Amino acid sequence: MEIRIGQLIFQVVNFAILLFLLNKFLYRPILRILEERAARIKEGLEAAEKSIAEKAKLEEKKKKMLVDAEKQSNVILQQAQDRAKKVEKEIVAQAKKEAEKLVQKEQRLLLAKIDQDRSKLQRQVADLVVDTTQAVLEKSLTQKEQKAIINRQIAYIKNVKIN
Amino acid sequence: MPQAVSDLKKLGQRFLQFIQTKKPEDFGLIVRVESVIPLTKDQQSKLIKILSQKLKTKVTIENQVNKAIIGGIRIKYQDKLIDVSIKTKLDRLEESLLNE
Repeated sequence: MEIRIGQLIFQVVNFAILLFLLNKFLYRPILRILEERAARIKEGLEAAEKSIAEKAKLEEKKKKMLVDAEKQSNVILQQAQDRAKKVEKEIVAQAKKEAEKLVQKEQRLLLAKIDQDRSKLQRQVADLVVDTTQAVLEKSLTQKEQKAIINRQIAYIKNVKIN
Repeated sequence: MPQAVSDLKKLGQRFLQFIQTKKPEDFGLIVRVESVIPLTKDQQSKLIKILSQKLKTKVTIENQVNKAIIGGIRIKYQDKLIDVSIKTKLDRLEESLLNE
């Protein structure tokens, strides 16, 4: 087998050109595409991770907000209940006070009426007693008795201090 | 008869002159005593004696019959009143009955 130097050099040059062309137009673009794809995948993964983290963060925030809102609503509810109780107490106290006032007023009116009736009755009894006694005395006292009364009163005057 | 009238006039004039010469204090303190029946002389003299001693002055009594006092006596002098009449006692009784 005879080696032809010229042909060999030609083949080597061809192979080198082929390598050069393959390298330039095939391997490098493919590698670049593969790298880009890997980078995109990496970015996608990172974005996905970031998105998951964001979502988790948002979920956490949402939970926290829900807890806060619940706490706040509980506080508002408690305040409303306290206020309602306070208002209820005030209304009951006011009603009680009004009722007491009413009862006191009625009692006063009743006592005044009783007092008025008693005074009226007293006056009637007093008038009856005095008028009857007066009428009896006017008719029944004789001259002798009148004289005796005057004598007793003169004796009484003798014993009292006058000026 | 005309003589008698003339004498009576003179007597009246002398009495008036006598009265005019007297001062009010010569008659002493005038005490009005109201009673249902007229006071007897004995009662009047007793009252004069008692009142003169107590008031330390001469006392003259004017007796007025007042049926309204029912019984007893009511004595008034100056601005004073000693009321022991039955009417007043009844009034006090009425008052006490009303105040019970």
